[in-house]
Amino acid sequence: MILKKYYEGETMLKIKKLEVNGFRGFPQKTSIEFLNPVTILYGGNHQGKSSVLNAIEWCLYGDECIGEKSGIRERVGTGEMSWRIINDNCDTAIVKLEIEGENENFTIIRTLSNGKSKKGKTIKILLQNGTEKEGSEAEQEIKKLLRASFKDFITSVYQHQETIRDFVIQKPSEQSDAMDRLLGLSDYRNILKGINNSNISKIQKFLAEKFDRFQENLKNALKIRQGDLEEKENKAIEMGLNIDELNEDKLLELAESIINDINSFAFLIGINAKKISAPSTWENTPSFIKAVKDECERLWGESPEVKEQIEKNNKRSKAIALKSQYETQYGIYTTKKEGLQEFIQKNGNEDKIDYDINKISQQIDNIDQKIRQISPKAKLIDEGISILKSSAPSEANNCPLCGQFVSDLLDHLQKKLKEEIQTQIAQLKNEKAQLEERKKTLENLKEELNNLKEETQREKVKLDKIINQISNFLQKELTDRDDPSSILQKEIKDIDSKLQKIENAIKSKRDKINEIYKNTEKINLLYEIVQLKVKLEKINQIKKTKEYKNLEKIKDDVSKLTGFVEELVKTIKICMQKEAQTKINLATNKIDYYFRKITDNPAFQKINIRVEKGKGDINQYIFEDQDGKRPVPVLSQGDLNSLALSIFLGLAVTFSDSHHLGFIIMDDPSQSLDPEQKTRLIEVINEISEIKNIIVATYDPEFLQCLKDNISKLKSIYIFSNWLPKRGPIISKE
Amino acid sequence: MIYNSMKVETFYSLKKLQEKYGIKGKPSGPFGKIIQKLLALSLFELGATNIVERSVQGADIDITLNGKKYTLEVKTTETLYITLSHENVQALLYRSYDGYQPIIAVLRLTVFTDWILALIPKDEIPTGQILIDNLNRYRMKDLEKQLSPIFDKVVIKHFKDIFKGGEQYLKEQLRQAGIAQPDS
Repeated sequence: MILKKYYEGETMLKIKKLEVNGFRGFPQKTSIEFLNPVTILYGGNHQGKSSVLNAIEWCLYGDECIGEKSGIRERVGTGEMSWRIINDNCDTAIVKLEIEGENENFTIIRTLSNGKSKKGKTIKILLQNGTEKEGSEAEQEIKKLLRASFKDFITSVYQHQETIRDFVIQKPSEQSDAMDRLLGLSDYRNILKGINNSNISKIQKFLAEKFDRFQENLKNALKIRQGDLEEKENKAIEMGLNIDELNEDKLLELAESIINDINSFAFLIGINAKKISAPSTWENTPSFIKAVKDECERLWGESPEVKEQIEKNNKRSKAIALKSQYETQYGIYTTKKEGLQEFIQKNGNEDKIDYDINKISQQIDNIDQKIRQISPKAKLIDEGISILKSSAPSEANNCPLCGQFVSDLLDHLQKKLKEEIQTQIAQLKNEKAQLEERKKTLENLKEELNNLKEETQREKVKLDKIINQISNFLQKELTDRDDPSSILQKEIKDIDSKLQKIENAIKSKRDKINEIYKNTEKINLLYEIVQLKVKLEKINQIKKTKEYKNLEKIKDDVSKLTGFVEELVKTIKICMQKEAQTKINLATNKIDYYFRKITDNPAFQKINIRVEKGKGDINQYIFEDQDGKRPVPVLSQGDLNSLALSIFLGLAVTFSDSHHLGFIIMDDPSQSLDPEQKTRLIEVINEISEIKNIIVATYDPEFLQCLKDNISKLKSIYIFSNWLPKRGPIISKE
Repeated sequence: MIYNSMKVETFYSLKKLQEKYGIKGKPSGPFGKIIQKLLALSLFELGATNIVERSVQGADIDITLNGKKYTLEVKTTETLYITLSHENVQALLYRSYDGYQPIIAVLRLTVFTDWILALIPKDEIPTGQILIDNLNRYRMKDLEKQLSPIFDKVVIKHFKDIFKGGEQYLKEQLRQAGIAQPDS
């Protein structure tokens, strides 16, 4: 009924003639006429058959059929990888399509140039009434006349080779993809792919991780300060503070208490306290602590007992120093004195030494006298001998005692005399030298004795000086009979006794001032704790900065965007599923009819197609037989091809009322079909040719023969052969 | 007042509790329950009524606040993610039959810790591992803002006693506040 209606409606547009020049496989101008209900393009691979079909598509839809948006895989890619329109040997591609309609005929001319002089695209439509429209106006007019989108065109007009090929591959994901394309759902898939490629979730995760790293760095910085804080808190607890008290409130409370303690202390010692103000906030603590310390020192220093204590302590120190000086000097002096006495005892006193020196000097003088006396006597005897020699030289050698002649008697006597005198003098000189030595020793002893006397006297002077100082210190005259050391020792003992009395008197006051100091230390520790806590808390201020808020806003915005995109994806998937299910529902009878017709498999009395959510909520198509069993895993490639063709043809027939195109293009439909299936496919084509013109491209001679034998409509057959790059194919018409 | 907020102190207090009561890799251990009870107490301080806190089965906390009924699934984590099990979601959905709106309450234990209260339409509640940032679009920021300082106060107030007495101490506190604990 439906077929008849469309046929009778005579609303269909049919292709009358195609003229190509410079388009893909056609470097030269070529024309093909589509005057009969069935046109068969026959030839081997790469002979230009598909280029003819592509030319029709491009002329009708232009850029829509190029690139990823076309939903046709082989047309994806850019640059060298792109699906090229213009023949490599040409600068311009021109496709002219003459179309015959119910009320009017029209011609579409589409061009694309990349030549040096002329670049760009043109589109022109020539209407029967002579009107000529160009550019967007022409595109609008074409759309109006065709009433078919490109999606409609590839779903229900032009069966591409690859949709069948992918379907036959049998890989479920690719089968679903092919089914989506058969159903014209490529746009949805492309959008989903685009969204997936945008990696919004990854960006969100990246942002979250970056932000996390920033927080981690902050955490590490805080950890160090937190360690300091805990150390101080432990110290404060050791000092008797409670963990709950480590705060500003306790600090201010302690400050008030310290002020009260200072006032009480001042009252106790009878001195007026200066006014100290309690800190208004923890931040004023350092100046408060300084004021407290200064005032405590002042009050303590001005306390009468403390003053006396200081005075006594000073006196005690002085006494100890003098006692020490005296004892040291007394020791030195005593040693010197004893040394002197020992010397005198050993060597005699100065008078005795002087006496010995004088006595020796006298002895030396006597020796000198003797030596002087010996010399003139020797000279006189020598002179006498000389006279004897000269006065009686002949008798000189006669011994005066015996009268005998002695040779050189006088010379001998003279020599003997000289030797004797010399011996005497030498003995005297030796004696003298010994005396002089002894005299020298005594003189040295005398000098040493004098030195000892002087040194002893010097030390005595020093000792007297110290004794004088002690006398002044004690304010008491000291005699030689007094022992300054003992007197000083007694004085020190007296001072100690007095100091003990003072200490006993001020002990309670000392405890009070120590308590104030201890509380001051606590306040100082509390100040450091609060300061650290505030520093830690200041890090929270980062959260209030504009930059941080901006960062959070970005995170929120990305989260919202992710949410929107997720919604969008969900919606697209729902639409995709619904559209698929709607189309399948509408075409299911036709699909089932064509499938059983082409396969003629008794096992299949019915083929049902359901759409389910597959992995990632993408459409998954379930094919079931009459028993609800899934035949797809056991279907032959021929059966799968038949199924794909059935879906295409089912959709083509079912939705043909949605557009004005009165023809169906089938590119290599017989792939993988067995001879029987090919024959039955032709029966289906024959049936459809009742309402639609059919354009079939095939390389299959068996299929060609079947077409020739079984198509009952008028048909044109073009044989494509001997394609050359610079010429294109030779096309002959049978 | 010395401090603008007690955030850092809260964080370190919670870290100390985690060191004592946390079980690595088990966020629903004693520490998780402590956090859940602290949240229940904070919501009580915030003015929520009809509070029910569950330690074992079902949604973690039910409350009525400003005339609206909410059911909360409480999650504590140190990572960027939380894991919502099918049971968690089922528990929230089950409460929706009684008019409760599901909230995923997340406390991420790091500096600048804030509660995330994500009011998610029941058909949009995800399962599995979820990036916390993904919940941002569902956040009840006004409520979070009110809750944050109260939570700080509650943590500081009870820290010492929780450190000594653990979850048991908090159970008693909840009991005294009139918060129902069906499985206690």
